[in-house]
Amino acid sequence: MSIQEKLETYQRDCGRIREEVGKMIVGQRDVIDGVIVCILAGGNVLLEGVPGLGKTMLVRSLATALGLDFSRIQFTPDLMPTDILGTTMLVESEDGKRHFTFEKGPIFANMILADEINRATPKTQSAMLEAMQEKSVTIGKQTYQLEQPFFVLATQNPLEQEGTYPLPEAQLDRFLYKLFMKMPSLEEMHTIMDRTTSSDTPELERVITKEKLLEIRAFARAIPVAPHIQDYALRIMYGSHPEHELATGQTKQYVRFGASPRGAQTILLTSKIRALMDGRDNVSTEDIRKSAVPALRHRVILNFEGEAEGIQTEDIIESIIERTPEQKK
Amino acid sequence: MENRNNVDIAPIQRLVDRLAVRIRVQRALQFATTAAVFAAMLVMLVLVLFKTGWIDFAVFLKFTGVAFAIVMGGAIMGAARRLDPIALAQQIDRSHGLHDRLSSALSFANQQPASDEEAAFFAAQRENALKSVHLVDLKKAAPFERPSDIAPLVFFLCMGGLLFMVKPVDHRQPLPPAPVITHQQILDSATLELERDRLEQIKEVLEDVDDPEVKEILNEMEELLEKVENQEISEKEFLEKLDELEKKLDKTQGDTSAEDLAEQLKEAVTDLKKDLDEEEKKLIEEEPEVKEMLEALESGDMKQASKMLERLAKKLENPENMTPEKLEKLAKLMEKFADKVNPDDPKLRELAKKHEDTVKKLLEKLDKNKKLSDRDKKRLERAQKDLKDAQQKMQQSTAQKKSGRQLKQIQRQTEELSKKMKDQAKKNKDNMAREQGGEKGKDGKSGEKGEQKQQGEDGEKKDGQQQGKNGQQQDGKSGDDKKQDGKQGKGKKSEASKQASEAAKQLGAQGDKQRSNQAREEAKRQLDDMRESLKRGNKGDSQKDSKRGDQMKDFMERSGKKDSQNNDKQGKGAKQGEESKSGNQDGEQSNQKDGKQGSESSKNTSESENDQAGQGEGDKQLGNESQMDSQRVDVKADGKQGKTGESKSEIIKGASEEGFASREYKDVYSDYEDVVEEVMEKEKVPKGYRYYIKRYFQLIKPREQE
Repeated sequence: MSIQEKLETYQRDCGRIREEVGKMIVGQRDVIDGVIVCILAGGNVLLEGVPGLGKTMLVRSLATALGLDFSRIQFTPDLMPTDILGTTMLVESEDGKRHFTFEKGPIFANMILADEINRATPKTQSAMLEAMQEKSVTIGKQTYQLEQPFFVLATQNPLEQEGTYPLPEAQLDRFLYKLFMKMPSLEEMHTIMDRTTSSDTPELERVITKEKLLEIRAFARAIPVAPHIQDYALRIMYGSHPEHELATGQTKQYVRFGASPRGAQTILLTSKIRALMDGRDNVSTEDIRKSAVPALRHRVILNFEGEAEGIQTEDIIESIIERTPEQKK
Repeated sequence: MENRNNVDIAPIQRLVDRLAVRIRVQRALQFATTAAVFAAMLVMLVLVLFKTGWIDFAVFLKFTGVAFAIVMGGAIMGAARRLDPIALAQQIDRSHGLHDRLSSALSFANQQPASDEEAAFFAAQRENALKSVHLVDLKKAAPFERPSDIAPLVFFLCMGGLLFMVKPVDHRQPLPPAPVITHQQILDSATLELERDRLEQIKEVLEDVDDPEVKEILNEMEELLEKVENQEISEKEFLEKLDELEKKLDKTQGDTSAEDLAEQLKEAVTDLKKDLDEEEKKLIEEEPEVKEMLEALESGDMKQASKMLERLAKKLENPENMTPEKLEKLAKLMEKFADKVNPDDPKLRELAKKHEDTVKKLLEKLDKNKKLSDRDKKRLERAQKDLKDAQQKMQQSTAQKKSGRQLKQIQRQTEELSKKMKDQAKKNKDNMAREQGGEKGKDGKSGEKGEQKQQGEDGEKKDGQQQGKNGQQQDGKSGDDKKQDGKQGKGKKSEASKQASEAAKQLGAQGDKQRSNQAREEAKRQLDDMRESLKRGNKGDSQKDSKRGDQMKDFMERSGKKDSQNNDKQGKGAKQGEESKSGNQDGEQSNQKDGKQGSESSKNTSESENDQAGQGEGDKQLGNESQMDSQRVDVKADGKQGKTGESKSEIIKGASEEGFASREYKDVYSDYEDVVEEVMEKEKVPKGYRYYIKRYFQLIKPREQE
């Protein structure tokens, strides 16, 4: 199969995933695309939104459409790492002998919904770190590889911040995208009401296999990026660094730390997925622009002035995009 | 752009090249427009300069050329700017929604694939991009844009057109007259008149003296006064100019040997007059030239003396004018005068005489006693040494001092003149005897020759080598002349006459110097006076000034009558002068004296004259009149009104109209002035008082109408 044919096939598959999820989730096109991009890129997503917007539904729908195992972990302050990772138990066998057996926790699934992750203690949160980055879990002296594809979708509730433990920067950096679930429009709400309050509940089908998913992921990574496009992505990343010559005025005024190189990697990688989803074998500046905001918004740390003035990191990144010329001067 | 993979991206390349051309043209247009704005400004400026005449047409054309070059340069600069093909391809991608297909293809064409997989991706991407080429419309990628500076360009072009049509004023038109700076009047017209008058006097002194430097300074002083009159100079400038002139005068100050010479000649004449016997006195009385010459020398006027000597020389030309006896007496007189002329320093001479007397006394004592005490011996030795020193010093002083040398020369010339006169007398006697005895001139020739030789020898002995040579030459010449004279008789000038003429010349030259020095002194004093006039003079009140000026003018006009008229009316004028004087001094007194003329006339006279002479503006500086009210008792003595005759004022006015500057008055004035000048020189009279004294004498000075 030629590249062009593969492109067309994968584009179609992606479209089908989108359509399938769209049966359950009305609207939220950007969030669905973003989540699909992150799954195809092999990364994790931090989803922020008020309760009831369909975060769990989105992950469940995706797991169904992709034919993946799904686990939901509700993070609470008393949640222990073993509650997530699993624990070693003394088990008596049929012959009466007793031995220790590792009982896997909910982390051992393809797709994890870490609901309200900021409510757990940092100790529990850090238990997620290895799994998210290394795709493995170490219990005692035993390391268990997690089955691929592995994908964590963590949610945060922007309300009720009391008694929460904000995610540390190191952990935030492990999420490819941070996405916001917005309130659906009136029209979308009508559709949601119709679908969820009647007897006709849409049934989801598996549209893609795990293997295919991994194949698409490998293909997307192989898509080449032209130097001037890559340069554009890097210039955007440097634009978020207040001390850099490419920094904009807003960056200099409100940003304490700019995005890490992992941010630039994320932009390029997710841009490739977006190109693939668009049926192209080249990455464009438009892909870069689309990827930049969700990829960098949780990686740019505001300074006191920025926090005090309620500046949103999205605004800063958008201003950087606006002021960064596509052509290198 | 280089294609490293040898893949066919030519269509994309061509597209980019075509776009580059399009963009270059647009940029050239844009830059040219911007440059044209500046060029238009330049052309406008140059046009204005050309039209106002600041620059000529050739320069205008040059600048127009420069403006054109600026436009062309702008266009070339715009077209030549570097264009990035990737950026151009991106421009096409953006304008056609190609998602960087073309730019990526171009970029990949330049990039070496890392793997087969990547190469496959490059190829697929290129194919994909090539499929889009036919969709590209360059007009859409780089639509024609109107140059951003077109509006200002149009504006400046319109302005330029208007300027071209308008005719501005040429800067070469005649400039408005320079503002006239009028300074305050620093000297009133009366003072100016007086200063001019004094300058004229100094000039008169210098009339027959060749001293261009002083004349130039005097001219400058005159110009300065003119500037003051025209109010072209400020007080400060005036004083600065005076200082400058004074310095100039000091620089050109001549030697004072003429004054010393005059002084010594004066002494000589005084000595001579003491030693004159009756015959000589009689001779002087009979010969006016000699008398006046001696008088002139006595008064220190060498120029006048020179004139008289010249006259005497003329007189000597003709032997008939003077008898040989008289000539002989005159020669003796001259010899005597020559003896009196002593070039040595009188003090040194006195000292030498003193030592000489001491030596003489001591020598007499030695002769008498045949022996001298030790003390006397020492005294004699010291006196002899002192005498020698004094004589040496005298010689040195005479040789060093210019006046001494000149006096010596005059002395020698006088001696020569005396000899020549004697010779002339002898010759005249011989001639007369020959005429009487019928003899003729061979003996005379030889005799004269012998005489001449002797004279030459005398000259050598007396005056040293150089003088001796001169003597020889002179004598040789005169000897030749005498030969001729002997041959040709009375038609030629006599030797004595020539010698007298030469002496007159010598004296005249010294006289010129003397006059020149006097003029310098006068000029210097005049500068002081002008400075003092500025300090004391009136300024500011132009009305009073003009009134005073008119009065002064009127006074000068009236006083400046011709001599003949003055002589005719002399007696009357003097009388009237007296009367008017008494009227000026005391009105009441005049009333008593001139009762006939009546009270009215006396009153008028006293009032009118007091107004002018006693209470004028200038006399304010003398202070207010004394207040005597407490002791004075006013007595009114009315005179009787006369029916006939003129009033006193009429008489005085009439006298002044006719002129009262008589010769006698001139003499009196001259005497008084001399005395005053002398006193002022000797006494330390303050400058302020000196000013008033001089001013007074200037005012009362007798004048002659030109």
